[in-house]
Amino acid sequence: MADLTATAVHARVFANSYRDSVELMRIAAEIESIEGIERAGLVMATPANREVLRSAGLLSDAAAAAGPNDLVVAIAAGDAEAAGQGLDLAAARLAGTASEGSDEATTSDATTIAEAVTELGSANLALISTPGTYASAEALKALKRGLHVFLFSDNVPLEDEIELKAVAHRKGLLLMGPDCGTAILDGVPLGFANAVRSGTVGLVAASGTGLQQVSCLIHRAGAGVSQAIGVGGRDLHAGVDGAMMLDALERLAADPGTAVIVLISKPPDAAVAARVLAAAAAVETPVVVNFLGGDVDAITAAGGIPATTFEAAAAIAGAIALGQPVPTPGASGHDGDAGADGTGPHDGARADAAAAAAALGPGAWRIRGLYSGGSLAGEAKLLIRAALGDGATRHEILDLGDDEYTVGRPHPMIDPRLRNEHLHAAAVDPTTAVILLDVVLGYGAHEDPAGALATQIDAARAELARAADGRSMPAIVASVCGTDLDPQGLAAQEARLAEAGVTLAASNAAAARIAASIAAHAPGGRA
Amino acid sequence: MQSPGSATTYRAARVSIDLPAAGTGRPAAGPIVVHSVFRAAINLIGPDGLLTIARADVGGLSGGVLIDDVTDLRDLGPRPAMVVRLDRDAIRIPAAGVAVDLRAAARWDPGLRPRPSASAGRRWSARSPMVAQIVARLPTTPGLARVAAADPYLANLAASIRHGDRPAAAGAARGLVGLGPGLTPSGDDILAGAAAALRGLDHPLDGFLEAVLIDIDRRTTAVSAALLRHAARGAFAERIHDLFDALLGEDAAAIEPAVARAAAWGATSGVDLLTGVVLALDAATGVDGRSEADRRWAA
Repeated sequence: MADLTATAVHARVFANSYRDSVELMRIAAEIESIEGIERAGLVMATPANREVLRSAGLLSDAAAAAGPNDLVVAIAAGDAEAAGQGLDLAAARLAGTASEGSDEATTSDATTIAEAVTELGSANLALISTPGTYASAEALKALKRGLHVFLFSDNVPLEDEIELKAVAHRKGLLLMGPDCGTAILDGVPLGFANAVRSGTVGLVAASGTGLQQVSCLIHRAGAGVSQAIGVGGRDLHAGVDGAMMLDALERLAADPGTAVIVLISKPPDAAVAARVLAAAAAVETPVVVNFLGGDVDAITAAGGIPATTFEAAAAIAGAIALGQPVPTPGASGHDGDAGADGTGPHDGARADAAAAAAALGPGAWRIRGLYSGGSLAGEAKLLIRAALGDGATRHEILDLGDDEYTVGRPHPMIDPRLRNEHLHAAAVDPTTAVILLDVVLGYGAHEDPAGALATQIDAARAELARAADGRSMPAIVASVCGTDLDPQGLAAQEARLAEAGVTLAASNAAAARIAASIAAHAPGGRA
Repeated sequence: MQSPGSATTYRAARVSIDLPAAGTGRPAAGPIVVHSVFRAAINLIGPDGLLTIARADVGGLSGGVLIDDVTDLRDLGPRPAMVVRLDRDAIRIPAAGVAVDLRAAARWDPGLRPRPSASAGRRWSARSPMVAQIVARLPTTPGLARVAAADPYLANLAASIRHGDRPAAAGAARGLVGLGPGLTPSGDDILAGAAAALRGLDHPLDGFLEAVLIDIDRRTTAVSAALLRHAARGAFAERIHDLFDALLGEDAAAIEPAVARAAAWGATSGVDLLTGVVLALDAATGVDGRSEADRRWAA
């Protein structure tokens, strides 16, 4: 019988209830995800546990009378209705009743790859997200069973990656990763993917947010994606030698549904890049090569189509896919620009850079990039250096998704709190001229990243206004990596940011150029 | 032997030598019924305690029978309270139409073999830091890590092992019995791990759990009480045997996979059991003057 008399403590006893611990923890986690519930515990009512519940103020009369073979579901909640929902959920789970909205096809008690394959005989891919120490073994098991592998885990030793990719290559399988955050395979998004239109552009990326940015811009250009294959950030390092990029290139070249291929990578090893370019030259499908910091001349000489920014890669590939004229590099040297003066729907904001800089405080000079995507941060650094020269190193572009920031904390794409801390610090620092942000939408990302940032921006603005000590709010420039089909909604996210006074750019590259322009005009004058 | 014609018969791959009738040669002491049914195991309960029919990949269990070629034992159809017939040749659950043929099963001894203390102690002292690092990397948090009530009992358990104080060890054990999450509460799993370590070292406090058995059925779950009874007489699951062989064996490379396998059991049971093993090994061998448990829970 449910005990709902207490305002904060709610409990129900299930007599002689035996469930394995994994199931009990899963149910507890599910209950805790209900809004209004602070804490849920499912424990056997042994005398020791009853004492712990009593000490925590969670021991109801019913639980106090329970025996060691009885299961107590104890919930600490702000309101009785939420607690009731939690108790009902527990009862349904313990009775083996499927919850409303649950998908039986995704419910499984499998605890090993072998069990999962037995359960789902048609499986052809394993998504592995375990600590790095164990990921290699699990990936190998999956490969041996003939499954492609999406290896989300990081901290996988390089030698393991080399061996796993060798096994995958021999077996004709894809080993996507390690630290692979994004893929779209046969229209199925994996990891942090965006909702994009299906089409004829095939992407292979050793860059998670790079793949996201290119796929979103392709969608916005009216084209679509056939396959988006992530290969892990180290695939083009020496040793790994582009193993999976080469295999993925071969697959896409043979795919009748792919009319143009885009290869995306953070700065690659030169010898590995040459090997990939040679392979790209041998395929009939047009290949756009977007290697950040890559050698444009070498790409061109190898027959590839160079793109030095994600926006350029998307513009070129989208044009090829749609049968439109391919954009040529502008006189400014920025390929993919809409024109020689870099104008575009939002690039017009660059013309206002001087005005934005004039509104800054006297000591403001620095660009503070606070990124959730490593590749987007990398692209911004390159573009700022190109715009500002050697002085660019004095600016700060942080990849807050890097391991040093995420030990023991969720990734900033999921949890905005870490970035908000940095955002506040940057906003109130009088040397900050412009804060540069990426806002990444899509599956797996925070449900309202723009809202979380905007709230922090509004709070910082209000704090500076109250201080009235001469400090001015820095300019804030952002691009939203997303589409109208994403769960968060591109238009709504951009509107929220605009409301908070954020200058929006159509792409990360455009945002970086705008930030560099503002810094170049900043009164602190050290750009 | 009753004809199995009306039942689906599974062949047992292994039977524990402490299984009544087939293992011990002595008939079961009284009626047996199905207690609980899980994917990997069917628990049976009777006057002889907990008996288990398990999938072969679970590994040997005290009072256990292992069968191959079954992925999900729930599919066999047994339900709690069904009557179980046990004799030298078979286990039968007539209401479920299931029989397990024991006649050709290999026999397995759940008794943990003690090792010479001096060499084991030296080897553990050398390996303790490495094992601590492996355990620290495990993805699962021990079940009692957030139960402040456990701290003094864990510290007292370690201290009593260090000083060879049996009454104090029993006192600490009584505080841990039934404490924490899980069908086998975390405190019980820690105690089982500690008991295994002390048996493995042939330590003076081997068997300290006897003192907590008196009213064990009132203090913890039936399944856990049965496992503690096994532990008190030195009988442990095969994965604990393997863990011990790895921790104190010659090949240090075997440690990490053995730890991973032990830790993977249940939601926290494996990690909790490991915690108990390490706590007792550290305390018994005087590693660092403080046990791993002291460090972890005294922080």
